[in-house]
Amino acid sequence: MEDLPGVSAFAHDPVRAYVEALLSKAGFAHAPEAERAETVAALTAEAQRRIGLELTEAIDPYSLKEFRAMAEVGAGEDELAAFFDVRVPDAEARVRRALDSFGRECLEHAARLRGQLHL
Amino acid sequence: MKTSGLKRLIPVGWKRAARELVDHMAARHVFEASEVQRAEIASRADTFVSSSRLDDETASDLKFDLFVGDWNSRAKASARLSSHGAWTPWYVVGSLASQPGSSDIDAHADDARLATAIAIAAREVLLPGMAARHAQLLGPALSAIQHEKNGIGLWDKVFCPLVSEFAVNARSRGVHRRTAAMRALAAAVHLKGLALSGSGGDDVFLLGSAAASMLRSRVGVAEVVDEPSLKKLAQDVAAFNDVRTGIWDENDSETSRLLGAAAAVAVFGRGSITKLKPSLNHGENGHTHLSFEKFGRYAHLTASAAAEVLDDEATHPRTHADERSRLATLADFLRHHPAVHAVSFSEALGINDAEERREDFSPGMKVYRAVMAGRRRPIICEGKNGRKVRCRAVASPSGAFVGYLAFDALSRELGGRPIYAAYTLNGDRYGYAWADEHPVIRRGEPEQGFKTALERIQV
Repeated sequence: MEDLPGVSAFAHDPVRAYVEALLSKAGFAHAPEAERAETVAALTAEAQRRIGLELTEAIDPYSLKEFRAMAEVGAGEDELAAFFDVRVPDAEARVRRALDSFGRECLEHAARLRGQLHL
Repeated sequence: MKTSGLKRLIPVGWKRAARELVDHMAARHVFEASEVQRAEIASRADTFVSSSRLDDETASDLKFDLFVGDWNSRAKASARLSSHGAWTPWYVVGSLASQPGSSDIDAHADDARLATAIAIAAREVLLPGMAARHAQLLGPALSAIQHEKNGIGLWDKVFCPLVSEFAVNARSRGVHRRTAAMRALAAAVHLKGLALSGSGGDDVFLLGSAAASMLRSRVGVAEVVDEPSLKKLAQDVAAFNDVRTGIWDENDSETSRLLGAAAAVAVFGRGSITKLKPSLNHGENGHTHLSFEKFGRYAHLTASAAAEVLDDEATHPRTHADERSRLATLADFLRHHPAVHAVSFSEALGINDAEERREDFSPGMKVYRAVMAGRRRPIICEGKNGRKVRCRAVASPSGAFVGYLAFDALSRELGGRPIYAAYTLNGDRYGYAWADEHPVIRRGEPEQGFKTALERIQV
């Protein structure tokens, strides 16, 4: 299995940056731009869902309620990062774990598909 | 089964239902299917054709939000796109991702769309292995991935062979192999995500989008240097200049750190000059990691004793991994309190005391130091020969007050081992506990073998 790409700490959306790096690793770096953008969008949304699922298991109901309230008032990203630091044990490690797991899944599927389609 | 071949078989200007078209194709031996299978093929083809999808403009707007919006917009766009299948085209995913069809079937579906719908439906219904895998995926594998610890393994086992079918579907639409692979990849992860989330709402997208901000560098936060800090620094440096000769010999580590930070700001134009603070993991809200029941139980233990109990719980093999992590975090938080041995657990967390509970000693009971609410001075009990001794309140492992321990100078060891005298809550002598290990209450009378210290140690 190929190494997973790193997460860029300086990207506007680190998840999207990760997905783009993932697609390059999977051998789709030179795909047509429109098709590539479509796939990046799909995988980015899916990566968000996986991170969310990982955190859903760790966050307690009270904190989740508070998070919803913060989302409604449009809390800033730094505020949210602090919130997760305090309210979810090992939040950052969980996020990274979810991304790693997602990355592995994508690379496995991609390797299988490339073999089957003789790419 | 080629779509192009099917398309040629559709009579020009066909306006009737898919069922009749399926019968028409079966009559021309495009496929061999029973009556029941033909009905199923027609039904699925109708679902594909009528499946609801976002129009291109809306999908494009949502993708724009997904790429350039803030975290909230990204989450909303993801949730909406995902639930409407904008990027899981029905001709790739097939019936596994079939959306509820709109009430009226699209009467203007072009021939290519109709032919593809029938081709996919026929493949799903007529290939026995594929039909069985679909049934497994929507039945046992779906339950397993949502409810069982190792459910992902079962899901993958059933699902992986189907991924190539998605690519075949896309190829039948005439797309390039690389594009087909990318669509199949997107469809595969999307379906797995759907299965994992079960009936979960949009919270997962919100949480995911918000938590992604944790991956970003927090250098930006550190770069913000507030003006009062700079003014204060200027005053401090001016004061230091007055006593310059003594600075380098007498400064403490904090002063050195501040001077270093100031030099870094002056030279590099970035950084911050603030006092060191504990990380956010040890913030004011540490108590949010603890259930109300546990808080009530340990409220009156000293913070250090509570940390010890929480550590014991965290290392217990039956404690869940998540709970273990929370307890360890909380224990760590308590240990950072500046007066960890003097304040109660609830005080260390900055919340109100719970109601006091009391119990009696029992032999073999492990006890922990506790803090009586509103009482800071030690309790005085009667020691050996009526001598007054200062006692400390102790609590049972369940957090209830059980009595006091004292170090009695006149009976401070037994068999060469140091001991504590144990007193009940009403001040009566109960027994003793070894002082060179964690105190465990033992029943006994003071005169049973108690010895005073040797006056002289023989060397």
